[in-house]
Amino acid sequence: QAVTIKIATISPEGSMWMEKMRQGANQVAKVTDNRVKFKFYPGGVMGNDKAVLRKIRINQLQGGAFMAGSLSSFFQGNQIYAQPMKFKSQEEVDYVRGHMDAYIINGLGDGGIVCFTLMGGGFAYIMSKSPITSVGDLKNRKIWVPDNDKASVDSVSSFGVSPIALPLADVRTGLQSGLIDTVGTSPVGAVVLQWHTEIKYITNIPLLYVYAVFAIDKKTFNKISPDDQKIVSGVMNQALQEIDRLNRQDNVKAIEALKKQGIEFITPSQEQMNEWMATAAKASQKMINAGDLPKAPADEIDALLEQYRKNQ
Amino acid sequence: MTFTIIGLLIVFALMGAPLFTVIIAAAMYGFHLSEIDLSVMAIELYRIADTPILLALPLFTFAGYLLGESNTSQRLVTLTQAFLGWIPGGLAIVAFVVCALFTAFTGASGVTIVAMGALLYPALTQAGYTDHFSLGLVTTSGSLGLLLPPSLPLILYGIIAQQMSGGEQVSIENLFLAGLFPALLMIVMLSIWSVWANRGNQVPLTRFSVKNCFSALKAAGWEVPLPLFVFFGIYSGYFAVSEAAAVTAMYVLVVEVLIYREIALKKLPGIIRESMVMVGGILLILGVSLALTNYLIDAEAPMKLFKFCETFVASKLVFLILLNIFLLILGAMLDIFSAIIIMVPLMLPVALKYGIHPVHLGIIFLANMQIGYFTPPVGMNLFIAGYRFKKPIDEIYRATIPFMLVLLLSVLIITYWPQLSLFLI
Amino acid sequence: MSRVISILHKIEDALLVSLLLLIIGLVVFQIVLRNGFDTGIVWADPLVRVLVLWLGLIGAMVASRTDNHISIDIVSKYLTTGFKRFTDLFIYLFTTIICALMTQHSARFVLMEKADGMLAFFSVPVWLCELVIPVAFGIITIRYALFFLGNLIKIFTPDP
Ligand code: NA
Ligand code: NA
Repeated sequence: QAVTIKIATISPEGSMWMEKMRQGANQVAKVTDNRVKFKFYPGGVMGNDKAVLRKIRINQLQGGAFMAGSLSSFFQGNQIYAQPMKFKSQEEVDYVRGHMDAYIINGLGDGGIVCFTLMGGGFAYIMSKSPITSVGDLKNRKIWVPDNDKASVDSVSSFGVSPIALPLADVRTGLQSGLIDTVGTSPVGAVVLQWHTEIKYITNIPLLYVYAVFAIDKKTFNKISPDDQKIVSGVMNQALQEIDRLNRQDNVKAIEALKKQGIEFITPSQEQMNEWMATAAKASQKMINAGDLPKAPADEIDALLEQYRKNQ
Repeated sequence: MTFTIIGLLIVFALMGAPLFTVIIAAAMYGFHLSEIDLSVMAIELYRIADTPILLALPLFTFAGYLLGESNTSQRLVTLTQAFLGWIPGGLAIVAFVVCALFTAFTGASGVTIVAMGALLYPALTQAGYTDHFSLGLVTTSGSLGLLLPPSLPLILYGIIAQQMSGGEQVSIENLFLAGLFPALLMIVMLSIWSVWANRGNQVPLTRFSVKNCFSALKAAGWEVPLPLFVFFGIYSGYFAVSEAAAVTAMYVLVVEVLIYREIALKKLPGIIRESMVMVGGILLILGVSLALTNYLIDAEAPMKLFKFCETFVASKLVFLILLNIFLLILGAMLDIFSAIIIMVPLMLPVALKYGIHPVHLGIIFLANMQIGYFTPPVGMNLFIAGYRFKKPIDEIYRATIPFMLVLLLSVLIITYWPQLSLFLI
Repeated sequence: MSRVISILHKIEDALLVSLLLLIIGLVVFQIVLRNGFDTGIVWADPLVRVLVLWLGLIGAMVASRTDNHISIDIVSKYLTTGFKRFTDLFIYLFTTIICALMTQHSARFVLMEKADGMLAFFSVPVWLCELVIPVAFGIITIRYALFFLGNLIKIFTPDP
């Protein structure tokens, strides 16, 4: 019994993500003798993450590559990495992820979503038209957040500023006209969306760790024979790890490109840094109190980070 | 079986079945064949609520109706007559430019025809152009301007192509620069055609006089600043492009109802009702077309069609000719954003192989899609124009075809003369 | 009966007017809040987009009152009045069936969404925003069913 798995994603055709996912899919088809096939619908043609989830429910699609936040209705805990300024470096993320990824993957699995290795998207940074060094510099800034994204609004509000919600399509012209002057995004994102020509400064503190999930509907995955399931998991894990690795390189390259463009990276003083961290910690606490984040795994992350920092 | 169903649906459509039901039936039949739950129809329809750009449709339509109900079109005619009355075809040229700029901001979803048409169609006939000519002009102008900044399709092309072009720079700025002269070429050619087409027709010329200009400006003293007000508001960061429609609607409401007092408050609900019925008719078609597009994408129809066409490509010239034909068909079938997302990644590698610059491909792509909007028999803007001006569709066809041929010629020039697009970048 | 219909018409008209004015008001209010008071309503944009969907579908409902939808009218003018009655009857039936199917499937969609319990914005459940789809198509179905019946009666009553 052959199973075809239709996957939607917002990654455009031709991007590194699509290339690697297709390579993985081809290998799965080859090894399983076409018993398991993937079909991709890239570039967001199937709609945004909400529309894709609806289509998975009615079985038009059987999976998708999602931004992690879109899956919180299946498992609240998948948002535990999305705490502002929680990690100071990629190495800290790697250490924590080594311990905590399983928690997310298993949690989503219990929620009916089979997912494999998480695909790290790197850090989002604060990018702006005029320098932002301290928390106080955020006052009177016109900070963009995606419209209808409560998590972003909450995290920006926690720094004591009211953000401006706009559709993605308005961001570039918004930056040009001065409607907004500050955005938060990853270096790759800034280059791909060509916002980098409109900003001058990047505050060199990792703001938020973002990652994506390659998810398959559990009902569909269970139709695959156990042996083939193992093949799919093995091959896809490998492909996704490759994406994770290449994405890291791409972010490094993008940072170089941004520097070459003449964008200045601002590193705050130790004192200012402490203030950022303290404000961010309060934001995390607020998310936990509001029930948007489960407390136990959040505490576990803190413990892991403490342990890691002590050993440095 | 499938051919019977398609045939039947075409017969129903020709017998006058509401177009939205024909589209729903086609989409449902397709999804049924693919064994997809038909509630997908509602999922697709609800995507209207995820599309920020559609906000412009009701707001600009309402503003257009208000302007149409007041004496604005008369004042517009007086104004252009005073300033440009000495140029043959003055108002027609103004209409092309105005529509192109408007579409650049709103996209080509039919807003231009419904909103600007309310103003320009009566203005053109008042100025002495024939009904037939005015109808064709307004219908054609509904997608003019896709190549001008800040056109969203152009930006989307830039983002998609940037990641695939392998080294060649496809910055959005370059696309904006590349679009300027092709867009200008289209407007100039349409203008020349307009003057020529009206050579036997007595559109009276008037002599230029400063006094006339002054009094015409004074009469339209509240309406002339509107576009300046909107441009200023956007470019100095007071509001977003997506908010310009609401600002316009509010401005026009205040000016026509409270200042000029040409529309009694009592009449306002009726105008709103009439304009929103128009919006409903169009939005319903757009919504169910999303569902049909989704079926075609699910079945990978555009990709298969392209693969089929690709087998005939033997040279750059053949590729360009096929590209023109293919894109014209595509423009009438898919919505423009889906078409860009799906087709650009397929076409770009082939185009690069034949040495076509990715920026040039973007201009070719959109120039063709632009004509697709009013290519008979199924270009969406034809139906919207017929609905808006209460004209039978065959009359719209006949009125539009000459303009279409002119634009087709300009697209050929744009396609086979890359320097026109590329010399600024 | 005609009382009920005229009340329904008044409700529809009032909805169109208030939805449009609400949309204009909300967007302009947002601009004023942002420029004058450095603040904004976070859920205003998603709300406005849902209102656009409502406005469109209610507009489509009103368009159905008089069978005033976008259609191709090439063939009908060459038909005799008698024959046109039959084709019209047929078209009304076709439209009724298609709209009824659309009502059924969008109602199922809304029920699924209700079971899902997602929020659209603020604390408004998303199914409430989607409810307009089956309601609009339901009313369009009824209107075309009545056209069908009216036409059927006309065919079987001899011309006076
Ligand atoms: Na338009
Ligand atoms: Na927009």
